Amino acid sequence: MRGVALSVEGMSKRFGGLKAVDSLNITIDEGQILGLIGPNGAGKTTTFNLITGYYQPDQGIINLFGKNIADLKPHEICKRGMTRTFQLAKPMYGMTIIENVVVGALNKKGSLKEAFARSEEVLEFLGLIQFKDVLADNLPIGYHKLLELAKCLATQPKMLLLDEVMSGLNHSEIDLILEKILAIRSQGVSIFLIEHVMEAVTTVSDKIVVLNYGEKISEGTPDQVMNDPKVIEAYLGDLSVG
Amino acid sequence: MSEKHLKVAGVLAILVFIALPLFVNSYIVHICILIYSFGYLSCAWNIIGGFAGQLSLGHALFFGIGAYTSTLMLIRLGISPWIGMLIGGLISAIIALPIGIIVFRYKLRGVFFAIATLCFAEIFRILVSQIRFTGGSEGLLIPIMESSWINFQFESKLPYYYIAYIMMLLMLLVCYAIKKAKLNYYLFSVKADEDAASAIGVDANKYKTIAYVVSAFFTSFNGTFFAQYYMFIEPETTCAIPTSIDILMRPIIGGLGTLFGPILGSFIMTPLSEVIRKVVGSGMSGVHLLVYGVFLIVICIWMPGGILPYIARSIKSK
Amino acid sequence: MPTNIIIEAFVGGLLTGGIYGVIALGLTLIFGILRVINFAHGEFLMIGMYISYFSCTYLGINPYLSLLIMIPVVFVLGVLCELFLIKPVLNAPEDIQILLTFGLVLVFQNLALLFWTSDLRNLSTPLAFKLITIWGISLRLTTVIAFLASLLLSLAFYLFIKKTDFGKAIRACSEEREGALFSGLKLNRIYCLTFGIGITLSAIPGALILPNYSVSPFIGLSFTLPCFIIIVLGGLGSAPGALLGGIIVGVAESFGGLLLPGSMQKLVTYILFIAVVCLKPSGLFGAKVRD
Repeated sequence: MRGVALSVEGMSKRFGGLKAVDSLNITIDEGQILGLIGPNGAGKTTTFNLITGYYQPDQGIINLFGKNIADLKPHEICKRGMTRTFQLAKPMYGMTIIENVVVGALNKKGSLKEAFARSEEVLEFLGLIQFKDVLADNLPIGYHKLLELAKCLATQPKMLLLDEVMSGLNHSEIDLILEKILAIRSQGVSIFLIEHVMEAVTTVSDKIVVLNYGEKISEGTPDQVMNDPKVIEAYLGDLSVG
Repeated sequence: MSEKHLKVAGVLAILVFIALPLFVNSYIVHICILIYSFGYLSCAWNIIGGFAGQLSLGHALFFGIGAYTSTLMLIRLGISPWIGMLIGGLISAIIALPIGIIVFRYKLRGVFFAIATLCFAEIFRILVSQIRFTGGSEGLLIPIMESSWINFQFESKLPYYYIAYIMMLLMLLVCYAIKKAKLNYYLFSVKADEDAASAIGVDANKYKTIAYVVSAFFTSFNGTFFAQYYMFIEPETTCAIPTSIDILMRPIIGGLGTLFGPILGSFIMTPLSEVIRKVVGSGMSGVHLLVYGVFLIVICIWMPGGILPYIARSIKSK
Repeated sequence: MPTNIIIEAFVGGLLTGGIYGVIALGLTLIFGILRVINFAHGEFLMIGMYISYFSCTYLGINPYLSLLIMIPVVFVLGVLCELFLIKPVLNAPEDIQILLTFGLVLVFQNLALLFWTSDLRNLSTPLAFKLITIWGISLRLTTVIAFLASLLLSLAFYLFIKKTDFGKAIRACSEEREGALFSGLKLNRIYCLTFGIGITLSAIPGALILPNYSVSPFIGLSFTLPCFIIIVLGGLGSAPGALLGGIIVGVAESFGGLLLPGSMQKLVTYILFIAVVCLKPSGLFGAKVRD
């Protein structure tokens, strides 16, 4: 019986008059990959921000591996084993690729030397080792997302949140990232990902949750969700507004 | 120029500056003392302003604390300014700690941090100029004592020259050590993107506060030096806004966040400041501040990050 | 302390606060649209006041008439500054914007010092001494006029933003920069004019309080600082928020003036800034988390 990695119950958040997220319930089992999809403005990134401590939920319980994290700060949540990427993240310019990753590796105790060693392993794993001493300013843009992933992996997370990590990538780049995501999962990491690239998310997710206007409107296997009329309507509605 | 050439040049420069006072007149020695002093202050400010990327507009607070602590301890308790210097540093650190905790905890970033530091410095200045214990707005005179190391007073400029020089080199070493330590990685990530840094486990507030406290501690030392060199301190010259401006101008122009940028900034701006003062005379105060303003604007538009990174970039692209 | 002094201080603070509110409106306009931290805001006010002062002194007109000269001059100055100094750093990191506008502060302050010396300038006009009594409280006529004018200005500003085409264009810019680009709005022109308008809006109250205010090159910060406080208190882009925030600051400073000796009065503003900015942690643009 797999344990529960992340459990969110009744989470709600208002911004002024707008209810961004409404009584959300999400469960991610250990070693599971959960996809989060929904039209623009559905509240997906807000959900991430609430779970990872950037916003405080108005109501709700958020448990990571059974322990409450609802009032923890982002860096404390990282210490508990959960980390995330950002949609618009940039690398740390002025530092080399490995130095970028070292910042994440320092999340665990140990000397700087140990952090560098761990970072090298992560770069190997993600196929970035050839860029080790390259300045982040000179990293080809197709590798930026992989670098983001590397920084997160260096923190040795047990729960990884990916926010549109495939946006702007071409087919082969997407395939590469999908491969890495599956490899990460096979090491026991649970993954929660927001994605707009439908093909990718349906390929890699065990389960998908669909959000619209801050509410969960569907949940199930990729097949179930893709054929759910409520989901189709939500996306078509979004398309017609343009 | 290869790295080896730079290192040789660096060693030569160090030796030249050690021998310098024996060959030049007293006025040049004075200018050098100012250059080293401001070089020291620039490096210290750079820890919070450059490494951590938080612009402090109120460093005069710590400079003033250093100057007033050692002077008051000398005048009222007869304690050597060296000890006063250390105590001043500790007081500065102790005051910087809650300030840092408050402002960073409440997410004061950017302009609000900058203005808050200005407010704290001004509050200090107003209080100091109102209280008789600190000499009020007339300031305090450092009593003339026998020329000695314990008294931190010398008749000749030479000992001051070497003290300022060594302080500058030591501060460079401190900055170098920080650049090689874990702290630098944390600060760099926070400066680049605080939210992303938090997501990978960096306690941004903690490290910003550490940088602020360290910067305050070292800035304070130079306040004592200033007191002992000029033998007179008053709020207008030690805790006022122009002092804060003098401190931050050099690292910004020389190269924010770099190791040698602040020193370069001091070597450029300090003589320039002095020349302006000589040319314009004391009749028109504020001309050097005007020049500072123009420099700031020019740097921000054409060479953001300072002169040193600009030169480095130009060399690389050739 | 006698009650009527307290009441006078309170009402005086209210009036000053309304005036502060309008000044802050100009700043919030610039913040909201250009997303630029304008440290030098108070300096434009200072320049406006000098222009008014010299107009009054050399042309013999009253401060209200001097607006006819001051407004176009300050507007043009604002536009020129935006075009040549602000535009290059519109998309630069916040640090650079702070440093640039800080450099502008130094330039304006010290140019003013060079041209006009640090002598305090007081407009000698009989207006300065006229008092009017409302409900038993005696208030300076000029302050009351300035307050009423500020209310009018706020109203005009509100109508301008909500009802005119240009106002709508400005709002579109603040809400959706990329969308505005697509719909063909000339962003640069809007930024330029908005900066000019914001500066001018803030400078007008300066002329209005001239009769009772001593002008020197260093008064800029005394306005910039309260403006920043007000924006944090009242929220970005909110006209009623700016007025309310202005009143809080005005009343606080007024009571500070009552309780503290002259040289310590600024302490109130400084402490207020620190307190406000710590207690209202949402800062300028809300929680700085990207979406």
